Amino acid sequence: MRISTEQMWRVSLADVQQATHRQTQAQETITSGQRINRVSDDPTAADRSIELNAAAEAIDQYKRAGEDAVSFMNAQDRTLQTMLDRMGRVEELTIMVTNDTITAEAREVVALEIEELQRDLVQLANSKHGDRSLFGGFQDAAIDASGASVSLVADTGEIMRRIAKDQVMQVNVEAAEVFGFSAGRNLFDVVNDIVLDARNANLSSLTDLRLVELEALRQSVSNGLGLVGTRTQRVETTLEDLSVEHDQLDADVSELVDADIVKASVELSEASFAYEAALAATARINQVSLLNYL
Amino acid sequence: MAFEGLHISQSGIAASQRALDVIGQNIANVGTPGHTRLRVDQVSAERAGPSLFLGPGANGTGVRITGVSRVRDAVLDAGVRSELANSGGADVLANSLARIETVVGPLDGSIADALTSFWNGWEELSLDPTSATARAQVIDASEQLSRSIQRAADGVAEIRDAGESAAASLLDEQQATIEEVARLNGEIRSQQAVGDNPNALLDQRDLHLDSLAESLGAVVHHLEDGSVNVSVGGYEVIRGTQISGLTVSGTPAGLQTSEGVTIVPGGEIGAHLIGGRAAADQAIAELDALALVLRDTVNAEHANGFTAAGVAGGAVFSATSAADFSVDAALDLDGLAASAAGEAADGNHAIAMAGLRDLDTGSGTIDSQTRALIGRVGTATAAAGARAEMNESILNGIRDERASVSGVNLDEELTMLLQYQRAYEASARVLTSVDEMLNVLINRTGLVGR
Repeated sequence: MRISTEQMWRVSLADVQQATHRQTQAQETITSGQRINRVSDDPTAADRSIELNAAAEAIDQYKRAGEDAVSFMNAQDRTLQTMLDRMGRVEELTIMVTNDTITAEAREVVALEIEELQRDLVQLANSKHGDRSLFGGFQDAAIDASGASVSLVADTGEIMRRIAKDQVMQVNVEAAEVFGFSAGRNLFDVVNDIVLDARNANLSSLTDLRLVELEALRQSVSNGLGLVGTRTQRVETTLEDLSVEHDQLDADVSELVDADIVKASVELSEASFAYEAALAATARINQVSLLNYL
Repeated sequence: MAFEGLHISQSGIAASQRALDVIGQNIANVGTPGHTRLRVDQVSAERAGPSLFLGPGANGTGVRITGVSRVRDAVLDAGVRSELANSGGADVLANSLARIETVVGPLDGSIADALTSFWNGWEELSLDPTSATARAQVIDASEQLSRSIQRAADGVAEIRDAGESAAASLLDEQQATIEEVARLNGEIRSQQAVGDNPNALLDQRDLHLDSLAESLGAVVHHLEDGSVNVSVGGYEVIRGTQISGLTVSGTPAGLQTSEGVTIVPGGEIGAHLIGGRAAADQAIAELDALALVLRDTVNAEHANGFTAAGVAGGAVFSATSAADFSVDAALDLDGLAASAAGEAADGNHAIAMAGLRDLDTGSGTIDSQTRALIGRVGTATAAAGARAEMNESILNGIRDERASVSGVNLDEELTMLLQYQRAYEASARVLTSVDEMLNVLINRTGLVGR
């Protein structure tokens, strides 16, 4: 093939340009640390990485919801535990009062202590986690003890948390259930009655009614506690799963997008070498012509 | 023998001189764009009839120069021009798509990212529906999402408009080229009519024709009289010295000739007006579809919930297209319907709002539709880039072939320089010899015994 001078120049220039282009590409891969810097670099992988990134961010959010749920349920757990302690003390004192030998003064002291315990119980039932009532549903408090008798303030509002893609769960227990408003007599009325019975030395009522009622209430608070415990465990298991899934997603995205630095470095040196060679060749081919020998 | 030898030598000397001039011209123009290497056409001169003195088998009468011609292959010219059109068009399309890709689907800060923040904002609000911060976050995320959709739509529209104005300014340049070709047609025709070789003009015209092919996808028809007709999109815009004016036509997309005919150009202008515009229009249509699905899905679900005050949720987004996609003007912090039951502390509807991210709206989730949109632009960009590269290498190949035929090679010219220099010297020597022989004949003959 006949080669014209213009062609020689153009070909060597094109080669130098191509080498520069390859060098720039290898440089971009290394400096950005990413194999894919725009979607068109690898549309399939880019599409998948966008999807996986979105999934990872959603998981971050689910984890936040799960951790929030655990912290809320831990607060319920602690509160119900404390209430059970107080109820145990009420029971002890009640049994103490039912002893015939106890004096009226002593009964009054016991009645005062139980009243104190009642105040604790009311406060615990109305306690909050942040600014959210633990047992009030969507209301600010669970019960209202300001009047003569205790009334239920809590509604049946279910506080829900999405802890995974298709896992939305309730995180609160209902005051009506746990404190006995929905079946039989409620905790606070029963404790009030114990105080009255103690003061009035109504010992048979204490033995036959109050202790039985108290036992039933202890059961329902325990049930609530159990429910909180089971849910907490479920959320914690989910949280662990989410962490594993998140790590997997990160690994997948990294595999799709991240540059193989070793490979990219080799490519860069290769491209630099090719560039230098192209430059050297360009300088050399045009150095001599027939003119040098005429 | 007589004086014929003098004449033969003289023709050799003249031919060598002429050939050296042409070599000088070639060397001088080694870097001139469009210069076609020139060759002296010479034949050995034949005797007009049988020689009276020499009888049959007589030699010729020296060398005769028949002309100076351009070494050019019309088939390669046509090939280069068609590849110039392909490559120019593919380049423009690849660039347009790459620009669309940067506005529609940047890997960071795309619509997909904004959507994720939007869904997460609602999820966060469900944790604490009474928090003003969480509410502000949802509003912020909504505005961010609106902006990213708007920016994409505006960006693509700008790219489309830029393509059209690029086509218009390219067309302005080519209009001048078209006039120039018609003028050259006239000159070439009149020079050829008197038997001249207008090589420089032909080179100029070929260069212009290449430019027309690249910009407009022009096809060239050579005529007997040396002029050319040039057609664009099947319509002859140059007919000898007659030309048609061209203007950009909006609908149908293409160019309008001064005769009122709409033609579809190729090359760079064609890619701007047809391919580039179609790609931009498609991206805008897909953005519009996405914007409307997002608006309808979010607003419909929002209406199922209640604000803290117990009022059913109003519109979150208002839009008639992607370009005016925005957060509804009436929406404020308290207007977010986070509650399913109408209680202030109830965040359950915010969970439902965030759950829209997994809702199949008929053609996949909103997230997957967004990804599909970004993916389609990316795939088209990658394909256009690959095609542009392929076309370029085809173009380079055929250009090389043409350069191989028509380009000047200095070594070759220098070799021929030597050859003609020697021929000149040899002819001069022949002249000297003939002269010496004549000297003998004229000065020595008949002097015996003097």
